[in-house]
Amino acid sequence: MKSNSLKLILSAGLFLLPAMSLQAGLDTVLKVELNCYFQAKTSLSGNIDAGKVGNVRLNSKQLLTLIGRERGIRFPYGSQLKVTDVGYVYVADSNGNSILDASPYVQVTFFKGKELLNGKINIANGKEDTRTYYQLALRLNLTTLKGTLRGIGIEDLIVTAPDRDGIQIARGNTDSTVNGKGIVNGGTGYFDGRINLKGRSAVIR
Amino acid sequence: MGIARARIPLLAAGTAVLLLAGILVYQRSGPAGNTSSAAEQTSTSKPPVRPDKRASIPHERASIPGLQNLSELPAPVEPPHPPGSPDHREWIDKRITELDALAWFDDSGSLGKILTELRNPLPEIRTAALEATREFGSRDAIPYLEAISKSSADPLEQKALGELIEFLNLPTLLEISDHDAIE
Repeated sequence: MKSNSLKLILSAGLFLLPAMSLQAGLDTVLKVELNCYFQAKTSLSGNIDAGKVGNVRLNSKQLLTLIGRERGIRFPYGSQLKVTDVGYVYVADSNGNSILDASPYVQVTFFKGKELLNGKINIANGKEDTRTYYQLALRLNLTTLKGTLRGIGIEDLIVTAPDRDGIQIARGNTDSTVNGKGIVNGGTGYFDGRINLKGRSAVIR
Repeated sequence: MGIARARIPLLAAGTAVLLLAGILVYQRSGPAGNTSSAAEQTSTSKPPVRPDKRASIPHERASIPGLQNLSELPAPVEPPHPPGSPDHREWIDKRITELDALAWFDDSGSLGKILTELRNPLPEIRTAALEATREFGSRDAIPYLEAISKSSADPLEQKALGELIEFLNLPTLLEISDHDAIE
């Protein structure tokens, strides 16, 4: 009985395998590099109203730490933030295994549908060498940091033609200069910086 | 029933051995075996002081030991394939991916490997190493970046290194949050 079930699963897998195409998308590593500006100090002395703006840096590793603090956990060394092709953010260990759904805290939205396309796509075999321009947004929802940043994503995507075994290599890189507004440590914060999404995968066509 | 009764002392002895083993393991692991959250660890490891000056804000991570003598860093990894070949391109991509992954670690070994590649003869690798240094986010890289900048004849590279040093010198959001939490 067990061997019959195994055969059934294997057969189903063989039927499903050809369906794993480029449509499966490319998971990318999320890199964030931001400057956060906030009101560090204000004072009123006589007729002098003075203020001081603080500027701190924020990167993906800090985001990872902040997400860990929200959940009361410490991620394994080498853990990364990854994004699926539909903007779902998750924490992956150094081997790429998903270990936490980070989408309640960090979300990426790709405003695709009105993108500008530069380059060529071979519809027959899926070979692609394109640069796409579209709007993207990064939403942060953490206790000490909230905000939405927007920018133009410039995505370079190269997909090789299938080799003899039908394997295609996809390489994607998206850069975006972003800025936005939010809350830093309970006060108004402004952000600017960049987002990078980079990924590489082998797909079977 | 008789067999069950006979097993009671045996079970009691087994439980006692297990308890003893558990106590021994607990004592050996001590605080290092603590798996509490980063936030909890931070709050317990800090002294109960209220620093007044901005300069006293604790760094995101302590200075990384083992990165004192920068001249002892190994030579950059040499490309094993001839330039222009597909294998060469593939090797560069792989090396860049490795550097990207190293940037997510926090240890001196990983930072050392990244910094080493700032001297790589291939500009793609140097650029990736610069990005990885930025993502690694440690101020321990600054003396090395300054040394590279002084020895570089490329004004663009000097500018990029200068901007990176300036960025790394900024306090981090975590440092500010922790500082405010202490106050």
